[in-house]
Amino acid sequence: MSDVSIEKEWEAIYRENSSMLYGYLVKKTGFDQASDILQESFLKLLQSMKKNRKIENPKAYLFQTARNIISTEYNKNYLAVSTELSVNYEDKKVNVETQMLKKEVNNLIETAKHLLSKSELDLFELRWYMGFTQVEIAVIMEKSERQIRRDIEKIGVKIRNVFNDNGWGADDMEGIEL
Amino acid sequence: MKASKLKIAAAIIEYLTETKSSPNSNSRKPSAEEKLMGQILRDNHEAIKLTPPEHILHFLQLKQSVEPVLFSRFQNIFMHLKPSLIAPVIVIIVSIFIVWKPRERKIPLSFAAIGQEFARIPTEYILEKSGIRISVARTGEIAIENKGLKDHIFLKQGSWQISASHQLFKKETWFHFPGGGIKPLGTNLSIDIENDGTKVNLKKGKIQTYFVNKFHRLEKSTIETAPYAHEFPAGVDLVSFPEGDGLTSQADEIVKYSEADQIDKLAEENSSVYQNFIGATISVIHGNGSVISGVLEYVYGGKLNIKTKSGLVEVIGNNMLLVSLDATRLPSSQNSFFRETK
Repeated sequence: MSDVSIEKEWEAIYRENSSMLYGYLVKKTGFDQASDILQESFLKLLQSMKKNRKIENPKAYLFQTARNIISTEYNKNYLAVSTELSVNYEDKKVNVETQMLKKEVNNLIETAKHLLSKSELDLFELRWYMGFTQVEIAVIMEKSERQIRRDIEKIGVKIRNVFNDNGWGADDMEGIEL
Repeated sequence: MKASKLKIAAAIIEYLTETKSSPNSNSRKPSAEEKLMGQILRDNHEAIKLTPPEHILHFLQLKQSVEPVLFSRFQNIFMHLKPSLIAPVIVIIVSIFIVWKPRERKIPLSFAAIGQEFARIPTEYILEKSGIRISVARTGEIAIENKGLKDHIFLKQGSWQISASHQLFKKETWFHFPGGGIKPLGTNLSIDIENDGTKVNLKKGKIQTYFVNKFHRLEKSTIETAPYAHEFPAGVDLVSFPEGDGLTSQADEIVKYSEADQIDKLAEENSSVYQNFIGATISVIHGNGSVISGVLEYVYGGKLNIKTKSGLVEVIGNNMLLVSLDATRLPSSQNSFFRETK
């Protein structure tokens, strides 16, 4: 592949993934450091592409690189601390019941997050907010898939308990109109 | 369509523990719980996204296009040339470089992006950070060093134009050049680095200066107000900022005497202005180019806590370029709350 086509492909990857990676980095490290880490991550991706290294999943590669930069050049704790990766479900397009239900889910998730260990929280955020698969998370966190699967199951149990404790464990016969 | 809480909880657990990136998307009509789950996941992804400042892409394109591509192209040319043709080709390439003048363009680059090595900055490039705007009239060499709460900018070559309005509120920044250095205190000045000396011409505001003697030691530090012009001697320069060499403490004392009251006054004034808008929807342009919109929740310790779609975001007051009450009118001087913080 020529340099020009690599650069075009790289720019497309930037346009597709930069906002999610930047948002994640801002939440983790703040605005100033986020810009630097974003630049460095995309430069490393480009260098790898120019060396003809096969990058199957650029998004996972970028997150992995960014996290490595944080843990080596900044403070490792940034990764483990959930700053404000919460979502405000105020969507005027959906009806009031759906909005209420989304808020309730959000509150339960926020409650459950307090029960997770730092590494579990880190993993949970990659799955719940970023939508990474277990295979991708294994790449990003540099762990085995088996380990990730085990950790996610533990997280699932904790979250299920929170839902059960708050009355979401029994079938509500009438249901909620959406 | 009715949804059951039990099934929603089950769908959430199933999504978390399954290996796919999104819930089942087969041909059957999705259930109410699956639809809700899909909405929640979309909300999550949208909430995390934050558009990075445009200059980051410009900078990356610039950086990746200049060095490696040129190098590899030259490498390719020379590999396929007969030895007898190499000399004429070199002559042609050098001639093209001498005649060729880069297109005039302005691209903002962040200080941190430049790194600590000296980088050659072509004509008309602009560096923006901490309220300082620098442009170079012809090719110059610059290096940036961040030390704790201070930025040190080393100018090696070139003719520089510096504007630093409201510098009081930003990170302390020192400019070092052959023969001495300055710290802008709300200024508009030019620095011309010539072979026989560095000419500093202060047109507006104040600067703090230092001089380097022939033994490469600091001589004195003074505060100068406009109009001020001075030629610093050539051939003497400091390669790094001399922490503990007398200048820092001396400079800090002078700055404290001249600026402390104004800093307190401005901080107090800004804080009280923002307090009045708690509960209102505001838009903030961050110093790095990002735009943050949301409801101003509270102001504490010079920091604005804004409730955005993606949660509570804390913005340090000093890092804000502009604040507007209404995102649709930004930036407009007609808006009553439109406020230039720099």
